[in-house]
Amino acid sequence: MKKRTALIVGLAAGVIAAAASLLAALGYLPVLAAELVAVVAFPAFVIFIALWWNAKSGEEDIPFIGY
Amino acid sequence: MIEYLLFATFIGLLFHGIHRKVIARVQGRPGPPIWQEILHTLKFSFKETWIPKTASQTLFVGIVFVAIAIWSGALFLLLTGGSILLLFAVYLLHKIVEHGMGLSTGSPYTKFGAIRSVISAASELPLLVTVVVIYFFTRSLSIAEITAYQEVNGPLLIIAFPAAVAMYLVILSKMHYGPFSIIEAKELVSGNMTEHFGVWRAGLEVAYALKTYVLLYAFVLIFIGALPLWLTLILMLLVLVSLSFVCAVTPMLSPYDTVTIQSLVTGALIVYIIILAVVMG
Repeated sequence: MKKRTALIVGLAAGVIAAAASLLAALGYLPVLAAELVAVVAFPAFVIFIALWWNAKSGEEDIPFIGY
Repeated sequence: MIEYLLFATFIGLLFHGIHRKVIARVQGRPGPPIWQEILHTLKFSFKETWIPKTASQTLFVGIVFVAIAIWSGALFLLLTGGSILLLFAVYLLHKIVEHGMGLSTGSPYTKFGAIRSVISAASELPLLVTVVVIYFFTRSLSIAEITAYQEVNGPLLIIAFPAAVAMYLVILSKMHYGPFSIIEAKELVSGNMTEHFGVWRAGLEVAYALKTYVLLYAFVLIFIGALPLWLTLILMLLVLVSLSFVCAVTPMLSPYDTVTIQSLVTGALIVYIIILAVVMG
C-alpha cells in the first residue's frame, strides 16, 4: 500500500467517526448509529494512521547487499 | 464517540504501564516508567511491518481490526448501560480473536497459544455464573438497571461478594503476566501474538488497552455502581493495583492448573447460587 493511500484511508476513517459523533451530539443521527460508525471506523483509523507513518517515503539509503 | 475510544485507549495503556511498575516494585525491581506501554505501542507502530509468508493474510490482518472493534463496542455498551449478556458475548468473541490470531500465522508458537486459548475457555465459566448471580439479585441483565439497583440497595460488591470474586478472577485471567496468562507464556515466545509485530502489534496493544479499561470499568460499574468519572478511575486503579499484586506474587500456572482453579471457582459459585435459591426462594 502506498503511503498516501494509507494516510487518506486513516484520515477518512477518523473524520467519519468524528463527524458521526458530532451529528449524534447535534441530534441529527441516533447515538447507536454513531457508535456503530465509531466501532467500524476506529480500528481503520488506528491501523491506517500507523501504516502511514510506518511506510517508507522512498528516499532511504540503498542497503549494503555484499560485494 | 471517537474521543471516548481515544481516552480509554490512553488510560488503558497507562494502566498497563502501572501494572508493570507495581509488579516490578513488589518484586524489588525498579521497573519501567508508567508510560512505558504508551511508548511501547508507538514503538511497534514505527517498526518494520509485513505479513509472514505462511500466514493467512486476510485473517492475520483482519483479526487486529476485529480485536479493536469488539472492545470499542464493549466500551459503548457500558457507557449506554446495555445488557451484561452482550458484554459476555464480547468476552467470548475475544476468545475467538485470540484463537484466530494464533491460527492465522502458521507458526507453531502461535498455534500452541491458540490451543491454550481454547483450553482456558474455563475462564468464561466464572463470568457466566457471575451473570446468573447478578440476575438473581437484581432481576435484570441491563447494566443501567443494575446500577439503579445498587443506588437503592447498596453495592453488589457487598451483597453478592462471591460473584465479585468470580468477576475479579475473570479480569485476572486476562491480565498480562498473570497466573492464568498461559496463552502468552514465555515458553511460547509471546504465545499467540508472536508473529504479530510492527503495526499489527501496535493495533493489538490498542485493543488490549481497551479491553483492560472495559473490564475494570465493568467491574466498578456492576459491583460498586455508577460514580463520577474521577472516582470511577480511582477505583479502577485500585482494582488494577490489587491485580498487579496478585500477578507479582503468583507464578504462572500450568494449563491444567489454570483450568482446574477456574472450574473450582465456578463450582463454588454454583453451590453459592443453590444456597441462595434455597435461602431466598
